[in-house]
Amino acid sequence: MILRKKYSIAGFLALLFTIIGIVAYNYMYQDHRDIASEKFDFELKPSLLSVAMSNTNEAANYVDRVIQTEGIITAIEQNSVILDDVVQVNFSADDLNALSIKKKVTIKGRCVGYDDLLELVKIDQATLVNN
Amino acid sequence: MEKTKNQITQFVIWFALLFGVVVFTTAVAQTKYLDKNGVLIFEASEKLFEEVKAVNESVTVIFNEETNEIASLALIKGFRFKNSLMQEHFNENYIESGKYPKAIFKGKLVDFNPDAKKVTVKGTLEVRGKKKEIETTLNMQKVDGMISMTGEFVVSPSDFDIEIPKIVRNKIAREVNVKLDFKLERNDT
Repeated sequence: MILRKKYSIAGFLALLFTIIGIVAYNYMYQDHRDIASEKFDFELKPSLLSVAMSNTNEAANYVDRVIQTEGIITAIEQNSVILDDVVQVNFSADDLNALSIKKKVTIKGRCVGYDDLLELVKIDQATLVNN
Repeated sequence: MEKTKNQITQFVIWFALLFGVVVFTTAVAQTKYLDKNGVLIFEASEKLFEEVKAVNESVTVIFNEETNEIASLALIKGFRFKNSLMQEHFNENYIESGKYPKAIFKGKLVDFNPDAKKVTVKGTLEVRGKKKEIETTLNMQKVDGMISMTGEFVVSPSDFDIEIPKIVRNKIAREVNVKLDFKLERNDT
């Protein structure tokens, strides 16, 4: 009888530790955000985003949020495009191939911050939104 | 009274804007080299423990060939770790990217020679509002209209008053190795 009780306690503890282990593992190794599957938090023009981001107080509302914006490609770099001269967009996949200068595109991505050296808003993990 | 005050502020703002535009245009007229997608990697891994490493692939670098001045800006939120929890802790607890969103380096290429393979860079790195002098030698290559620079330097979390909690202290190296890989393109406009 006592032996059986011991076994059930041991079994319970083993189960408990396994559960704690799994929870801890999932907490420590949780997946990164998948920006492409998130719904956008804000939709605004590149120029408006730029004005907002250049203001330190306002910028905090947009940083790390998902932004959708439509603009004209003014430059294409190695792995990014510039929209309306004020927003730099880095894509997560190679969506870049289909793009050309002066083309109007809508993108969705994560707002990283404001680069005051070049006066550019940086967006990464972006995807093209089909329109 | 309130009105004149407003008018003065308005005047000051306009003046500042105009001044800013003038300075900006003259600055752009010089020979500059730009990289908007510079790569910066830092690593503070300890043997046997999980890798502590982050990569930022959209670092801005500007080099002015006339003055030999170089400036670089990395947005802290642009650093990506393999482990998302580590990334979160880095942003929220250690570097406080909400309060200090960027790391800025300003300095000079002291012995810049377009034909040389190496160049010494000297300047200040500002992280979390704290400044640290950096001097290092970079590998350099200049091919028509492009300058590539690679190199590394070492900083420590304490340089920027970053306190590492005891519980993870032996998992994070005291010396943080920073590697850079910049490809600057000539920009005359």
